[in-house]
Amino acid sequence: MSEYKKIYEHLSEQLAQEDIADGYLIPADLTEEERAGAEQEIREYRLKKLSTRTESERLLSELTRLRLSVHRYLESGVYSSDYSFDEVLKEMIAIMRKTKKEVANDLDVHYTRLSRILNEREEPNLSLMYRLEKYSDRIIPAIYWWKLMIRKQEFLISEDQNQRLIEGRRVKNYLEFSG
Amino acid sequence: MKILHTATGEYKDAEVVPVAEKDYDYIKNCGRFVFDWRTENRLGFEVYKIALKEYEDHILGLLSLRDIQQELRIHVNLVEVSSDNIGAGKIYDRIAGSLLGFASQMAFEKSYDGFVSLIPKTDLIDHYCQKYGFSRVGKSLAVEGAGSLAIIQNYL
Repeated sequence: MSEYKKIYEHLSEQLAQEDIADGYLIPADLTEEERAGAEQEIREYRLKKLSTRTESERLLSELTRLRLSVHRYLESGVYSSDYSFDEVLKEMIAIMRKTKKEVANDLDVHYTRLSRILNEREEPNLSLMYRLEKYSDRIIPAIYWWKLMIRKQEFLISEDQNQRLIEGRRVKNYLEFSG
Repeated sequence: MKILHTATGEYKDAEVVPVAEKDYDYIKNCGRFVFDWRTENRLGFEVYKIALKEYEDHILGLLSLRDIQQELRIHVNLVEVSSDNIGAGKIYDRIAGSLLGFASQMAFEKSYDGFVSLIPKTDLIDHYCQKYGFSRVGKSLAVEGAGSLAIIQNYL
């Protein structure tokens, strides 16, 4: 009897079946021959799936990979220009294998505006983020797009001393507590 | 990923990371795990632990898996939630789901289309099909694509 089976039988004496299922994944107690057969079955299934992979499956897979990399970036707390809103949108468009014109049309956004956003000459608004969420079937949610934009703006505010000075010069009658 | 503190209903940030050599003695001696996780490692499985970000030494669950590169799939061999998080009196919930979500995440990040396989004991098969959306493939269970993404969306 394998160790897995011994422990499973021990657990069965102490816990309800529902609790075992909830707390454990325990491998089946198979003979070498049975295990080899099971491995063969799943290998054949997997290789067949790979050879018949559809465009829709490719899209889901690659968009999910993009979602996960954006998620990791957002969790990291740092800013990287590789993950600015426009860069992630460019990556998404590349995955979808569409032209900018097609994407602008699909999203009901003027082509010029989309180009300006992709070239960092215009900031995206919340409406566009909701549309992008829908466009990816929620794989990349609106909140991710929002956080990408905010992450960049936080970075700019902390680094952009030039613009701070320029804008400061335009302010009159400002409060001055620090002397 | 977020796990649920059952008493307060509050979600807590958790993280899955590889088990370090020093962890194996803790796992063996803490009295909260029954499987031999060092043996899993010796059998060639990668072993991961889940813990709260704010309390990373307190392991809440464990997972062993194998990256089967030739077939572009992740095979999960064993999952164990700590004994204090099983049953009606559990402190935290969603631990097993978060560990499976980690396996799904790995299967997408490695460009395996989210393909994750298991060969669970017969008594556990229905639970894995109903709760996590696995399908039967001979003696194995598998999840991929939209099913695997659903696990990520639910647990990560």
